[in-house]
Amino acid sequence: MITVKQISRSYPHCEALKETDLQIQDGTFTAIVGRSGSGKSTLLRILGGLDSPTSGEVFYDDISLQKMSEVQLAAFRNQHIGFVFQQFFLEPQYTVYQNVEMPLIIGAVPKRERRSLVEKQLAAVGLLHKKNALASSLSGGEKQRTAIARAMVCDPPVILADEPCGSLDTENGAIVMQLLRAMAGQGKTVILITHNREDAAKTDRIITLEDGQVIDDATF
Amino acid sequence: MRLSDLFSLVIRETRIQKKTVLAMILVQVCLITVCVLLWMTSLSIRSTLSAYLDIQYPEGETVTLIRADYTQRTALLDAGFSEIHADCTGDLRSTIRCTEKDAVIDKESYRICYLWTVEDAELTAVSGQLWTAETEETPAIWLSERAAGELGCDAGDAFVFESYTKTSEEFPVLGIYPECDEYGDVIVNFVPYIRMISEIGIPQSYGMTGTVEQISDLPEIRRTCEAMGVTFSSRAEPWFSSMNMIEVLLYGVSVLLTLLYWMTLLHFCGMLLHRRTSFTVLCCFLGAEKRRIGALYAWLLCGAFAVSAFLSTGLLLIGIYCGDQAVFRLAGVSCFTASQTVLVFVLFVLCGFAAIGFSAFSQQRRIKMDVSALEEGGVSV
Ligand SMILES: Nc1ncnc2c1ncn2[C@@H]1O[C@H](COP(=O)(O)OP(=O)(O)OP(=O)(O)O)[C@@H](O)[C@H]1O
Ligand SMILES: [Mg+2]
Repeated sequence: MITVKQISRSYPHCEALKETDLQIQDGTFTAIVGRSGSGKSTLLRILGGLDSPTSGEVFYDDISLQKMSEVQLAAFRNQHIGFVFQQFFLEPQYTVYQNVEMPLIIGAVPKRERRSLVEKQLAAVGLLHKKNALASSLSGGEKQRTAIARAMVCDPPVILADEPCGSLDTENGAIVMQLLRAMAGQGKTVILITHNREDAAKTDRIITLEDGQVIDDATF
Repeated sequence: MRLSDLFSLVIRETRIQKKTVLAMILVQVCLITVCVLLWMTSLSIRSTLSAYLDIQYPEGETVTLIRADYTQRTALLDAGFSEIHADCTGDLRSTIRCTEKDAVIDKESYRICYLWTVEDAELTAVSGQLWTAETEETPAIWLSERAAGELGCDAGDAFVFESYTKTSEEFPVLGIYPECDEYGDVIVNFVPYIRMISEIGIPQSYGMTGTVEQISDLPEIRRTCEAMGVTFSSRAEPWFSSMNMIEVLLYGVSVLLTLLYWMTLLHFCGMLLHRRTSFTVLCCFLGAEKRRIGALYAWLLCGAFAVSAFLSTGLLLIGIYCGDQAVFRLAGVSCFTASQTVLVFVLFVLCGFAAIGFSAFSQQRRIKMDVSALEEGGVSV
C-alpha cells in the first residue's frame, strides 16, 4: 500500500502540493485528474522518488522514501517502480532492445537472464520484430510501447504513468490503455495521470486534484 | 551495475560520441607531444647551450681588453682571467736617457721591447743578469750587445724615463744580452710600472688580451672588469645574455601550452558529459546511482586519454629523435635525456588522468535530477 502523509511541495513562486493525504491499495488502477498546474506531475514525481517533498512523507508499506539514502532510493526505483512519461524519454541512439535492457543493466541482472526478460516484455507490447530498430526511428505509439516494456522489464509492483497517451492518437492511446489495464490485471499498482475522461473512466478510482489538494476521490 | 556491463556501456557511449572522442584524441595527442617536448627543451636549454659553448671554446675564450692599460696584471688575474697578455708595438712618448753616460736611447735607431709579463730569458747574459720570473717586480732595463756598445753603457748604469709631470723613474741596466731579433735592441721591464705609465709616458700602440678559461665565468668577470673600467667584447657572451631570455621564453610558452592542454582536456570532458546530461538523468530515473554514471564517463574519458597518451609516445619518440639530431648537427651536443623525457611524460599523463577523473565526477554531481533535464536533452526522441 502506498501512503502519502501530509505532503507539501513548494516552488519559489508557487505551492504545487498542499498537505495532501492519500492512500492507494496494492493492485489497483488509479487515475489522477485535474486542471493543468494542479500538481498532478509533482505528486507523481514525489511518489516515484524523483523529487522530494518540502514536508510530509511517502510510505511504501512501512518504508518511508524520505528516510532512504540516495543510493537506496535509486535501487528502490529500479526494483519497485516503473515510469511511463508523455514524452517517452527513450535514449534515441539506443535500439529498442537496448532501451528496454537499461533497467536490467542498472539492476545488475546477468546478461543470460536479460535476453529472455527483454524479449518477453517486447513480445507483450508487440514490438519484438522491432527490437534492433533505433528508438529514434520509431513512431509515437511504438515509442510509448517501448517505454512501457522498459517500465515493466524489472517486474516492479508499481507503475507510474504521466499522461502516457498525451502525445498519441486515439488508436495508439487505446493500445497503451489496454497495456496499462493488463498490468493492473496482473496485480500491479498502476497510477495514471490523464486529461482524458474516457481513459480515467477505465480505471478503478479517480482522484481529482485542484491547487495541490485532493478535492474528489471516487472509487468504482 | 556489473563491471562488464559498465564496459559495454562505455563502448556504446564511445560509439555514440565517436566524433568528439576522435577530436579529443587528436587534439590531446598533439598537445601532449608539443608540451612534453617544450618542457624538456626548457629543462635542458641551459646545459645544452653551456655544452655548446664549451665545445666552441674548448680552451676558453681570449678577449681583447679595452682601457686595461693602467690596470695591474694581478687585478686582472684576480678578476678571473687565466692569462693576461700585453703587446706593446709602439713605444713611450718620453725620452729615455742615462745622465751619467750622457746617452739617449733614440727611438728611431733602437727597437724597444717592453715586457708586460716576465718569464725566464732563454738567452745567456753577456754581462750582468737577464730577466727571470723573480725580476718581474724589479724596475729594470736590458741592452743588446750592440746597443750597449754604441751607447757606451754597461750593467749597473741607470736610465731615467722623463714624464710630462717631470717626475722620473729610474731603470737600472741589469744586464747585456746577445743580439736577438725577437727582443730588439732594448728591453724594458714594465711590470712594476704599469700603474705609473701615465707618469712616464703612454705607449702609442698597445694591445692587451685576457683568457677566460670557464666560459660560464664570463658574466662575473665582466662585472668585475667593468668596476675597474676595463671592457671587452666576447663572442661567447651574447649566448650567455640571451640564454636567460631563451629560457624564460621557452618556459613561458611551455606554461601557456600546458594551460591550453588543461583547458582543452577539461573542455572535452565537459562536452562529452554535457551532451549526455539527459542520458545521465534518464539512467538515474531508471535507478542508477549518479556516481555509477560518473564512473561510466570517467572510464570513457580515461580510455580516450589513454589512447592519446599511447599515440603521443610514438610521436614523442619521433619528435625527440628529430630534435636531438637537429641540435646535434647544429651544436654538436645531445639535448634530451631519457630520464627527463619519461619523468615529464609520466607527470603529464598522471595529471591528465587526475583531471579527467575529477572533472567527470564533479560535473556529474552538478547535474540536477529533473524531468526538465530530460525534456531539454532531447531524450524524448
Ligand atoms: N521545477 C519547477 N519549478 C517551479 N515550479 C514548478 C516546477 N514544477 C512544477 N512547478 C509548478 O508547480 C505547479 C504544478 O505543476 P505540475 O507539473 O505538477 O502540474 P500538472 O498538474 O502536472 O500540470 P499539467 O497537467 O499541465 O501537466 C505548477 O504551477 C508549476 O508551475
Ligand atoms: Mg503534468
